[in-house]
Amino acid sequence: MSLLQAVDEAIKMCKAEESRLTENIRQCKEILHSMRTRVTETAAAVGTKDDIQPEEKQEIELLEQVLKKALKIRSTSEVHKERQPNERKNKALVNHTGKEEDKRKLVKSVPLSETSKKAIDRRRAGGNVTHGVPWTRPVLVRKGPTAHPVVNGRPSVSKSAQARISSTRPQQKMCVKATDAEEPSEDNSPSVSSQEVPAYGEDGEVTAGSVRSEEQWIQSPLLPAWRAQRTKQKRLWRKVLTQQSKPVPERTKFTERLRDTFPSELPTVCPADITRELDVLTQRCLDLTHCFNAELQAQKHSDSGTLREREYESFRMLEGLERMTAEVITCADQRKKDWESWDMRISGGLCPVRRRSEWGAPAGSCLPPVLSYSSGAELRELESQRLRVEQLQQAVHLQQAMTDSLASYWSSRPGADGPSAVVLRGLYSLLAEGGLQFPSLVLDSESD
Amino acid sequence: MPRENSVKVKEVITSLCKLLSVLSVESIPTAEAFRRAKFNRKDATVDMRSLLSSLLQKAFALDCACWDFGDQDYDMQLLFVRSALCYCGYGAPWVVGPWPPSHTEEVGTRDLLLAFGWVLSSGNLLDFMLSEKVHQLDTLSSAPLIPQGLIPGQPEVAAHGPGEDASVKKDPVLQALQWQYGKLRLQWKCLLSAQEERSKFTHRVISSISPSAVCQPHLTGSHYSNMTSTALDKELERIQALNGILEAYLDWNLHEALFWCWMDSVIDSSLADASSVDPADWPPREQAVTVRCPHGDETRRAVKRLDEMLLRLQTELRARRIEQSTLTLTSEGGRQGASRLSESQRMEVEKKVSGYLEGLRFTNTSAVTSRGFLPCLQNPQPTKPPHRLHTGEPGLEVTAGKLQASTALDELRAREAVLRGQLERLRQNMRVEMRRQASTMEQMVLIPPIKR
Repeated sequence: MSLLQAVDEAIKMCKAEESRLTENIRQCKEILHSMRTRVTETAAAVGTKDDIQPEEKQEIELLEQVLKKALKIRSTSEVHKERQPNERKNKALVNHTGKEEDKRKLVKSVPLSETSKKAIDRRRAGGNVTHGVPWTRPVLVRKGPTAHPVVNGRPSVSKSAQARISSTRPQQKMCVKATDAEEPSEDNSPSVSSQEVPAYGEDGEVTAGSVRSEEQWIQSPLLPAWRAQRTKQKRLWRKVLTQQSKPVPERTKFTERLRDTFPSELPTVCPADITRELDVLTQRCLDLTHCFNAELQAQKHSDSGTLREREYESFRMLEGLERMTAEVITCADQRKKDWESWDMRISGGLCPVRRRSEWGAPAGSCLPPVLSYSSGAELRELESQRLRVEQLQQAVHLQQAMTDSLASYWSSRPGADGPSAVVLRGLYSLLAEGGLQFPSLVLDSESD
Repeated sequence: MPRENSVKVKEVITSLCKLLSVLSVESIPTAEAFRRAKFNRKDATVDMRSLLSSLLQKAFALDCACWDFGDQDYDMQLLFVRSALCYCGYGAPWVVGPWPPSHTEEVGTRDLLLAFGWVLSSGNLLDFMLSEKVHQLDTLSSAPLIPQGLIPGQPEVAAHGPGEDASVKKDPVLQALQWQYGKLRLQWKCLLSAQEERSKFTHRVISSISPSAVCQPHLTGSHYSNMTSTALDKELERIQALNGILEAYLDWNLHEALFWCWMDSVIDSSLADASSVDPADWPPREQAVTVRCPHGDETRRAVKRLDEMLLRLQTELRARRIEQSTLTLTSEGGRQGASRLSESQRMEVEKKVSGYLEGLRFTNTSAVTSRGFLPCLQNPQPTKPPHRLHTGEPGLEVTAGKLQASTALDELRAREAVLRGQLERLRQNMRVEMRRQASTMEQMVLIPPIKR
């Protein structure tokens, strides 16, 4: 792979990562937006204004307010309920029975029932009996409060919404999954709700200018479900992380026994690990070589410290380098031996394969840990720091690669002129300034 | 085998199959096929073969273009399977051995089953697949950037010594390189800003997980109101799927031990059968193996290259040392020159040198965040005793699966400092070299750019 190709690969990788991040940002934005749903209330639907008695109107308003309050309390208290089911339940019950009392006082004739649908239908029925209005309209009117989250709903969402509202009743079990619908008792309710949705949408727009339309933001009904799933995920993940550190002796026994069945003596290290270690060792060797070259240069031209300090420094540095090189050589020899014993036994003609990631490392685990951070700023800094480290790592590798391959410009042609001015300028900027700045080459001729 | 045992085994294998299927491994056979494979029945061959092949495809990637994963060429598939198995250390005769089979029909079902067990038990394959899924499904997780390790092929680039790559001498190549490098820098800038934005959003989503969060009304909601909660729906689905996977994994963990015991019994039965057939009786097949890969020499070349580089480095270092020691001997004061340094000076120099060398070693290990992480907002704990942050090594904290942002930040900052130092040193080296070059050019004066 030539140098240009390596840089190209790096650019491609950056682009891929960036598109992944943009996609992620889009997803997060959508999630945040969909946590709230806008609701347009209309206290009165088209044409039914005259049919509603003023006291019923008042009742409806009060009922709406109370239901809203109940929903808010319910959605906060049920997540509390999750956490401390025993303690808080009674409190919530108390709260709700309190609300129920209010509602009962308002509506008087409504007995406490299992589903709010029933209650509303009874009210509806009550309204029907007195006024003989057509079926759908009172639905629109009466169901005003319950239809809040339904405005952008598919029938299943509206069902769940109803189930959500109905769970303001203390006896209701909280429905966690959005798709779990507690079947409303009426059969025609799904059709009603699905009819109602488009009609409502239109009505909403039509009555936007009329009577009283307020826009409010309430929480999406899916939000508690999502929160519950997320907490569950956190719990499960921590469990997974604790499990991973537990050894499984049966597995090691199986591996050992299987290894014993191999016909010939093979080293315990597998070729994948050998190759990986070779890569690491090669990189270290490169680092050491470059460090050595830099040291040679620095020795000649450094201007920090006294002569003796410099000498001593280079002495120690070279000593250290030699020691590290010796270590690398021992490791490399070991790996070479292992590789050769594998190579001998393989009948040849096998494809080169590569592990798709570093999953072979026996010591480390490859499961991402849970990172606890305390503020948004900290998270931001951590992630950008991580990227900067990656970038620097890549820059160091590229610098080394460029130094090695572009060194041909001046070292291999001792007799020739050396690089031209333009080339030298380009080389300087690339190798010495990271491409950011250019030097100036000035023609200095003594004019006679 | 007692009845309950076999039922249990079936349960265990079913749980394994379920886990593999949620981890997107294809062609999972039934638990029955496993049992038939234990007894080396021929009818389970196709199942086991496809299972093994698809598992290996998830674990390994081919470096050569010999075989495309979609191909139906079973012989090439066998070559891939053999290469992958050999690569992860499986030394059975049909993989490595003197007379490897060139046709898939020649490999017994039980052998395939044992190979499958080997792959499953080597390294943390399941963990790796699980972490892939986590990063894929969890919107808030922070995935590792580069597939861990060096930029692939990097050592090769550097190893092309001067003169091998003749095209570099031409100017257009240098210009192209400058251009590309500038492009790369721009990409990194875009990437950094995208990352900042993402962190911001991730934090907002995470903070709305906790129920005490108040949902503030959004300003730009008008065109989103008609959007059904599909985004939240989809997210909910994804998280539910992820939870399903985690549960399957934990379930498998419970039953794992029994599975390995059963695999032990498979080895037993294979040994029992093998003892009746003497491997030396196998007729030597024709040496013309039909499928071979011409690219298999990579590692051999890499080994040779490394050897050369190390040898060169070692000889140069030695030569330098000898040169230096003769210099100091012959110069005035000789050895005493070094001893004229005061103790404190010496300490300082030593500290500097060891710091630098440690840095070299440091950058070769992987960072604490190299596997990615799942961020989690910590509730502020004012009563947290300060010493808790410092107990134990950072490595221990990570192996327990928990990582503190402050520790990670510290390590990353240290890394950054080391890398910057390294880069600066390399560049300084180049500057000096260039100046020297320029000085050999007649009538040219090199004015380096102003340090900003």
